[in-house]
Amino acid sequence: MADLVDRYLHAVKLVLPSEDILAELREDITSQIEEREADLDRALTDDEIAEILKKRGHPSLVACRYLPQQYLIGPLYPVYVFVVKLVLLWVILPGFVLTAPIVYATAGNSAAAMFAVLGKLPVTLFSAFGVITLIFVACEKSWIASLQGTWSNWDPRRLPKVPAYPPADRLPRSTSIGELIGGFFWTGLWIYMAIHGFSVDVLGAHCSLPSIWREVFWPELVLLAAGIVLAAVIAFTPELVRAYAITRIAIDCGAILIAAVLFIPGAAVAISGPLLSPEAVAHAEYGVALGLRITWISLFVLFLVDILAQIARLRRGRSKPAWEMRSTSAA
Amino acid sequence: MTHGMLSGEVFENLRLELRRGCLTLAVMVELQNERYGYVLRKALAEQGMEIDENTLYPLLRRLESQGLLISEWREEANRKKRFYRLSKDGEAILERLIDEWRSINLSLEMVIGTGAGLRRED
Repeated sequence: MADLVDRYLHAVKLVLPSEDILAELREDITSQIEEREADLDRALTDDEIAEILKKRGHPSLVACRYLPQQYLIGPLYPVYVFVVKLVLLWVILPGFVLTAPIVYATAGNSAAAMFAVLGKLPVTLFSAFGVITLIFVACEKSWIASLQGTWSNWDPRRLPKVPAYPPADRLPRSTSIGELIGGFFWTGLWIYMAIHGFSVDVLGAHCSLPSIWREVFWPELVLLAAGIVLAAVIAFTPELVRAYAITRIAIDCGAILIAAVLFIPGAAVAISGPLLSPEAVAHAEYGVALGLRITWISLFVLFLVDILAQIARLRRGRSKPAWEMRSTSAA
Repeated sequence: MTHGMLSGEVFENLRLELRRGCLTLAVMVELQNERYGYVLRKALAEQGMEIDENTLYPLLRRLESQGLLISEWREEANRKKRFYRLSKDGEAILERLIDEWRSINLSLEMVIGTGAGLRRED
């Protein structure tokens, strides 16, 4: 009996990784099975248990009922949130780190120019948010349409087996898909920056990043590629929790090292432009350097938090999760 | 799609809509006494308020997150079970909801009664 129920709960967990909900679901299913067994005065066959599970509904649908109500986006919601954060971060970060100091330094009326840049920000953010939402709504509608048949004609006996090892928190597929999208995004951006010699033209001012950026191109590219490969592997084998956590820690350490290399020499950003006075150049360079330093410190903290999270994941992996704790009668 | 199938589907949607609010009320009434999910579901079914597990458990979570229920994991018959009961806020809200339900019920009976009377006159 336990095997089919385990497989069912395992399938629910791939969409809804909540130990608490899974433990409660297990309890409800076990109570239902036991009551039926008491009525029949015999143990249920696998076919009868499969029938009970089928009546409860496809694991993905069961999991979706617990997710917060999102009227436009449902099962893809975690990936959607990740992509929105990523893109909005990319709109805000260059907007303030690069554009704002240059605008402040170059414009005649600095305050008015800054307000003009800030005024454009909500429209840019809203447009980015709208486009992402529309893409996800379209993806989800077609995905759900393709799954309708699967949800009604599924067989609990064909659910994948629960892996034999005891990993506590297997990785939800939404996390690896999100990391995959993020990995491609940052890799594309990194290559784009390298092609343009790590320099950018903003409002008539030419901003060149220090030469150390070119020197860390390959190490950073290797780290980004490793992140993509890791996310792709985990998307298909979410049970490789230990391997994921160890590789993630290695990638994070490498990223911290690169952030430190870029941070330690100081950000000797070179800004030039025909309309810029020496004071304006100094002003802008100081602003960009400050922005970059704040960014490196934030990234350093983020990577450190992720390393701690992975260590916690490795430690949790040693204990058996609550939803896999079988009762004496159910086992 | 035939007319019969369409009206059946429309009726089913309306019926579910009608029952949704009533189920919340019924669950809250039942949880004046502490119960765990499976027993609660059975108690409701025995009184004609069938509720499937995929509706009940998310509803319990929602009511708990709203502060209307308190839950606790405890062991019973060698198994860990999550017991729910109404919180103080839940009790106050339930009292108001019951008053509201009675008032709606009374008004609806009057409306339905008037409608039935008019149909007979026709």
